[in-house]
Amino acid sequence: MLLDINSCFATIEQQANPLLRGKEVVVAAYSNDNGCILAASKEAKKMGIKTGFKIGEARKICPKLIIMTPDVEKYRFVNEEIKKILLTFSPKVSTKSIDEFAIDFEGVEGDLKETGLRIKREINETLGDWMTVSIGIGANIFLAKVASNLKKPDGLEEINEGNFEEIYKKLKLTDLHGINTKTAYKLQVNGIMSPLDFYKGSRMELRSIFKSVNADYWYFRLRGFEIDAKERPTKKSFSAIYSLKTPVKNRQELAVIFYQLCLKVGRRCDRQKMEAKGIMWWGGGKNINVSGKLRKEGGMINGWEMFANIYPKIPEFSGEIRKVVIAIYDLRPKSYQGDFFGGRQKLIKKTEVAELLNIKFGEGTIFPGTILASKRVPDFIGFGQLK
Amino acid sequence: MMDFNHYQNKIKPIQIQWNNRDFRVEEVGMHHHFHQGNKLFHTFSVTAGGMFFKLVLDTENLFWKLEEVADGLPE
Repeated sequence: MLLDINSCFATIEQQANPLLRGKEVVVAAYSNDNGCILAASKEAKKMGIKTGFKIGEARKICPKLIIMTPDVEKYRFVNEEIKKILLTFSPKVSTKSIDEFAIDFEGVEGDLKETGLRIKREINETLGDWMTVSIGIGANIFLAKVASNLKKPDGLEEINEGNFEEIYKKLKLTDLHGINTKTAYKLQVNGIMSPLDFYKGSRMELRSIFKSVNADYWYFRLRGFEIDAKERPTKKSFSAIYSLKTPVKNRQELAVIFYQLCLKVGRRCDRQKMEAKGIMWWGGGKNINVSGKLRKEGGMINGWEMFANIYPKIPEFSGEIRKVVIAIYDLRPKSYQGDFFGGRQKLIKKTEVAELLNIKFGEGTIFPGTILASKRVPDFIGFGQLK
Repeated sequence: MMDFNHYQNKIKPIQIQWNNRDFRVEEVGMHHHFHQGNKLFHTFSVTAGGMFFKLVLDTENLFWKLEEVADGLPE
């Protein structure tokens, strides 16, 4: 089963603020004309406003548009509450993204459509009447996803052995999750015009089109075998990107952003019990580029150590930087490799204690003196698959 | 003014005084909580007197903070 929160951020905002219900609401990264829309309410969608539009474009379509900026804590709370509800129905729940969950009901008895209705009811009772979700039921995550997209909002659809051919006949190739216009064109050129043709295609035929293992994946996916629930292999790199609302104009301001991003990637790396040997940084804007990379054979254990290494290398610049990236690579299991004079051991000890204090007493309780006159990078939420 | 139900261990804002006016809470749209370090905060998104209020309760000192007031209209 796959559960998808309809127009996630916008619906949550409408649930929290009843005065917004029934109105055209969007949640955007920034409220200025260049802000990118992250979620549009179903009323806004009816007017033709979609995720990815710029606020300026959307305002032209709907001058009465209400623009909200993200309230990350609220969205995380809703995500956690829904997960708690789902765990009462099945022990195997995986969070696919901030607005999507996959639930494995293998070995759980009962009618799944009935269970779907009960889940919807529980969500309404716990979070409120305005929260709607689309639920898809299928033999694998892929079919469940296709089913959840069949009716939006507030759908509950099933793809099973009795109706799958009928549904494949009605859908377009691009309605299949994972088939973009380019792949659809490739299939059409080879005579596969619909998902039903795709299903009927032989394995050899698909191999000649895809020329990769993807042919086998699609062959099995369309037949209801589970391909997408595999554990992700350990990550080889981590990166964090931040687009700035107000550009940074000097080295010190840029260092603050780098520090926050180093902490972010450092914590992700720490959760996997890894350390990084390489780090790359980049800041860019109109006619300006500040970048560099360095390798530490001894490894960098956390965000603090990463920042300590890159801080002296951030150059002075003139211009406006609007986008900042930090990436760490060459990951390996944590070694706590020290140096001859014990300097690194001291740094590791101090920074690990600082991390614990920040977790216990709140972000920013302890921070490097180099960014004393600093402002914080606001918390932001990703749309992609959770890692 | 708030109501604390000690059987269910639940709190709910009842009335807000803002700008020398009293607003009786009509609907709690959402009640969520979050941590800053080990400090717990409860956020209530409520409507009262045709307005929207976002209230945050700091559970350490039981202080309420009015974080947002809106009328539900575009800017």
